[in-house]
Amino acid sequence: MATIDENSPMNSAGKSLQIGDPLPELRHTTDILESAVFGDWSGNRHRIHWDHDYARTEGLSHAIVNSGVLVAWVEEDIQSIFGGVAGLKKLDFRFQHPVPIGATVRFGGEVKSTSAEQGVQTVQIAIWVRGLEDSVHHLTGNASIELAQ
Amino acid sequence: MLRALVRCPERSLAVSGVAVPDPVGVRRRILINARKRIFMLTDLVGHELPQLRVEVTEDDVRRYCRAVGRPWDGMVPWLYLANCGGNQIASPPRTDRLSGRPTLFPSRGPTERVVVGGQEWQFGVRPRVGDVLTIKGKCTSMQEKQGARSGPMTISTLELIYTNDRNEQVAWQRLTRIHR
Repeated sequence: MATIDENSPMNSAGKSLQIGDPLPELRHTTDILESAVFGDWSGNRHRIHWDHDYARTEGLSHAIVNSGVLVAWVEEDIQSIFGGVAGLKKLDFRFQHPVPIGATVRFGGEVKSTSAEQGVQTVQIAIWVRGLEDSVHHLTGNASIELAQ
Repeated sequence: MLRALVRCPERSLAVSGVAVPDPVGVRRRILINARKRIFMLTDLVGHELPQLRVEVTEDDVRRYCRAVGRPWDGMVPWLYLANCGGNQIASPPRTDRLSGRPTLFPSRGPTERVVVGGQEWQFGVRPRVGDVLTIKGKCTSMQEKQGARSGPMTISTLELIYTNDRNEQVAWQRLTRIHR
């Protein structure tokens, strides 16, 4: 039985974690201004992340979200689902399709396995970021999270 | 005459005054270029990246949180690591302005255009405000591939280790980059 933050959406389901349990879906969007702020902070001021006209010359329909922002959303979502007390131990992901700036994306996934050892439960989850339509996959990956029992 | 020229493809066919295809010479040049490229790629494997030192300041973490739209809760997010220190690196003289640490070091590569294909992380001791992180990395592989739609590309992997000033490992990262 995992101990998750009492405010966690996984906890509010009122049951222990089971293999195949879907994660609650969370949504994100960003705009040109936020993208430019990230570019300024990170030092990556590439126009592909804030200039729609330039992005079109690169064959894209819009400027695209920086991958650093996308993965930040993934971490934030894992934390909000499993709670601030959860320990993220491993994370891997593959970028599949760029996210246009202004588009809304959904974060989700499912529980792949759970194991307990020495008072710590480890949960492996598969994660994804998709568009509002299931056919658009932006990112897929896996995470390993330790929960205090 | 034509046979002689084909045997000696480096001689100019212009001598004959006839625009004749030079298949042997073209193939030879392709082969030479491919060998040079393989030598260059092999040379890059094991190449150590410039070491970075990053002071984790509250101001910097707050700016990161603001940039990615998450509230600052006093805890340094793990993926702050993915781009921290990028502002220390001067933009390389690239024609496409792909600069900073998107990829995440301005390391040598077969082409100037690089995008991140994937990342793998193992986290250790969470960074705290006030830590001074050292980031060391090296190129661990280079592989040429042919994309079904995107054409030829080179896939490189970098492995990065983040340690704090107490010499504790903060994180290990494998970064896959696509050069086109």
